Amino acid sequence: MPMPIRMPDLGAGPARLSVWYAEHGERVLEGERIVEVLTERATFEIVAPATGVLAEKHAFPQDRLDPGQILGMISEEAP
Amino acid sequence: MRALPLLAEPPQRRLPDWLKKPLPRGNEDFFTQRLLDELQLQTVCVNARCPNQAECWSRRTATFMILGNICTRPCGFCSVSRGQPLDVEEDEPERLAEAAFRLRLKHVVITSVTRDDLPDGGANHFRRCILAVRLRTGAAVEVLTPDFLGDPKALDTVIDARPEVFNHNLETVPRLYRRARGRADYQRSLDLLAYVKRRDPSIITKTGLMLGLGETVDELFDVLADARAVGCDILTLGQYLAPTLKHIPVARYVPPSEFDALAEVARRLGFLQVVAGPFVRSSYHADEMVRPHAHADPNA
Repeated sequence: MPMPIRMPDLGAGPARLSVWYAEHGERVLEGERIVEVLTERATFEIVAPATGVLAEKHAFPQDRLDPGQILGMISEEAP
Repeated sequence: MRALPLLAEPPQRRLPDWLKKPLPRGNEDFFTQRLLDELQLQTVCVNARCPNQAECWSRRTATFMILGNICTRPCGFCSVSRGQPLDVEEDEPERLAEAAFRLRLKHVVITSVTRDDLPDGGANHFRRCILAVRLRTGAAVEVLTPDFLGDPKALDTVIDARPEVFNHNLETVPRLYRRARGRADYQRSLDLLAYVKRRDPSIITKTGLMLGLGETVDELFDVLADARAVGCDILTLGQYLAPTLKHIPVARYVPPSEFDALAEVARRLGFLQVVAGPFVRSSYHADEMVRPHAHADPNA
């Protein structure tokens, strides 16, 4: 079952996606950093919630992000 | 109450590399947030826009902020709203205790806005919260209080509830008080720490400073020496991070190596525990700061 990569509630003000560390279709490991998010008070690295393949990206560099937003999907199989 | 304008847009610029945090998993179900919403509790995590919020909430811990979320003092570093506070909520101590119970906290940190509008500055409400948490959970209680305008009766009220840790932040060096802390007074804050230790030497006293507001190293050393001279046990040092563009801008981002060096100096001055680093806040991992020193040694 695909696993969403969800934007947490950072509580540190407005956030923006700066860079994906993995490409579409790339295999990722659970706990591995997968996307970087900037706020005014810290830079955060979101980790992969599961091992699999980065099947979908729903947010991109410079996008403004909201808590709970789905940034991408990890699937068990190659897309 | 008029809320300060927040940053309209997320930042474009990058912070120094050492201000990067991995986000641990564990709060995907928003357990902490839902509990706080259900019990209608305020936290300093949200109101101060703390960069550690996601980390702490994923560990299912939070720093409770009592007496409302509107402060009577205009401090230049703080993002808590200021204005005319609302009435004190009489059932807040029980709701707070319930949250601490459901979060299974063994160490509960309670802070508040400054309530100069109340005759006792909110001291009795602090007392009620300490007692309620202790009764419901048996947890250790750490209070992070305002200065109560230096009123010894108000301080006695809190001290007599015997919190395990009494924290009052000096925040910055005396030269920057007018700009950063408005109506606060450095000597009054120092006297508060001295008074608590004198009244009950078994209570662990604690203070914290923000670095990067424009202080010099010599000024910092003087403050550390002052804090030790009044018997302060625990010290936290963290990077000041401006909550919005309307607040005091960051004068300097202090590298981790400087935090380490300052912590070493502080340890040599005799603090029982020193925690220093860019993301250190006064209640960050507060339980771990106290564990090795469950009771202060009155003879130390």
